[in-house]
Amino acid sequence: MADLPDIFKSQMGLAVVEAKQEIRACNEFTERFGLKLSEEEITELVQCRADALKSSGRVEFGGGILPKLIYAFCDSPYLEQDSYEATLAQLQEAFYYYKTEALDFYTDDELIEYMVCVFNGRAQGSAEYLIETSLDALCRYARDGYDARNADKAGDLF
Amino acid sequence: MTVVEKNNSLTAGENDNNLTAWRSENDLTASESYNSLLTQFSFSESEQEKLIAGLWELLKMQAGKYNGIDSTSITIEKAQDILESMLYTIGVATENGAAKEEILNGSLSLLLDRGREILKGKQKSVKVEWKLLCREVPYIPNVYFLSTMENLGLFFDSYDIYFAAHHTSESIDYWPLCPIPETVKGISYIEEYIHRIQIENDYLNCFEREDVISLCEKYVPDYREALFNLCEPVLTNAIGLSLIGKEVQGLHISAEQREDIYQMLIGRTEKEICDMIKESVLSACRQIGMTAENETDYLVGAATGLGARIREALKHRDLSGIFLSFL
Repeated sequence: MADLPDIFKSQMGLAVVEAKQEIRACNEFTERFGLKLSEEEITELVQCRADALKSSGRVEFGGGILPKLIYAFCDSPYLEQDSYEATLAQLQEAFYYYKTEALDFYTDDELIEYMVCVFNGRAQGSAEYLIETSLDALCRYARDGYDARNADKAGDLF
Repeated sequence: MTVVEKNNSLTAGENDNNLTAWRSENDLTASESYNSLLTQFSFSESEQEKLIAGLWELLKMQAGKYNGIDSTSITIEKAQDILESMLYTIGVATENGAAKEEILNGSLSLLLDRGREILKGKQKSVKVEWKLLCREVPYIPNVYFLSTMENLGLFFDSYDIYFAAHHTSESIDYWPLCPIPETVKGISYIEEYIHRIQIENDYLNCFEREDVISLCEKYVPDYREALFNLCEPVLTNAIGLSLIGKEVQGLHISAEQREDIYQMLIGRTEKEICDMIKESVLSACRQIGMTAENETDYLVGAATGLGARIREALKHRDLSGIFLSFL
């Protein structure tokens, strides 16, 4: 896979600082739901973000998708402080992976909205179910199209 | 084995030598454009940092425009593509007189806009050149040749100056005698392609169409459906006739004339043969009235590979696969 030129290494470093600041700022909002990320967890999540971007073949110029994911998922009844960081890491990785897999067919907000809907609905807080079943089906339909009137072939979408 | 197959086996590995003569000094790969910018303006270390920061911001802005407002990330391939497009366009602006201060102190996005304006102008002028080319296309019924001439026009509708300025046409199936280096990108590639094909078409138009078709048919029996350069057998036979001081217009080379060519070339070194070929190309061009320097230079460049092929054929005392008889 092609890499962006090494000349932008320092700019990518600045993006890491920006990402940490944005995630830190989310704590203020999520505390009311009993969720908070420590500095160590923030650093880990930012590192996970870099790995997820690399493995999904994407590049990001701003602070990242995590703040959006945090705001979207923080009021989920299935999120607990103990598994908060691990779940966010899974969701973040899945987000970038399926964004590429769906050939950028969905906007960030559309994909997140779908993830929240399934996570809080039939997945009942299982990130594994969301990722392995529903997102996979969603991306398959993004690539191949689907017949909304054919319930048999709708799989996990409806 | 057809004549084309014979010739291909003989010319393998010689194309590079053949082409360097026609290589432009300004040919650059898009990925080299950044380094080219650095060397062109000899930036200091601090200036380089400023340039990199500017390029990053510009890439961020362009990626944002490409994505729309609802996506924070982009695939690496697309980002790479946008970066190459930006560098190519900025390179066009610098070739047209942008100064170092403008790159560092002015806005790179203004430079990008200026490059785009230049490319837009170039796109229009090259389209006109393509229309002129189409008006004088020699009607040789070869499917690759005719469809490429026609489909080249599709490029002008699909050319994306904003996010893929360095891309070239995907519908080119017919290649000129001297292929264009891969380092030439975008509209510059199409412009160069049209210039080369124009020279070849002008050359073909100097001969009787029936003679050209007969020669092509001898060169490749299935000349209508085969992928080969129409100018190649014509140029080669014209060189052969010119070598022995005959009129080139007829294109046909008889067995006796081939023997004369053999006698003239046998025992000579490859360099001597190449010099004679060069002279013959120029002499043939004079005979048919092609005197423009860029045209003769191109044809001389295209014929340089012939020397090695002739040397090989002389060893076997058989020039019948190079200088063809068709009557």
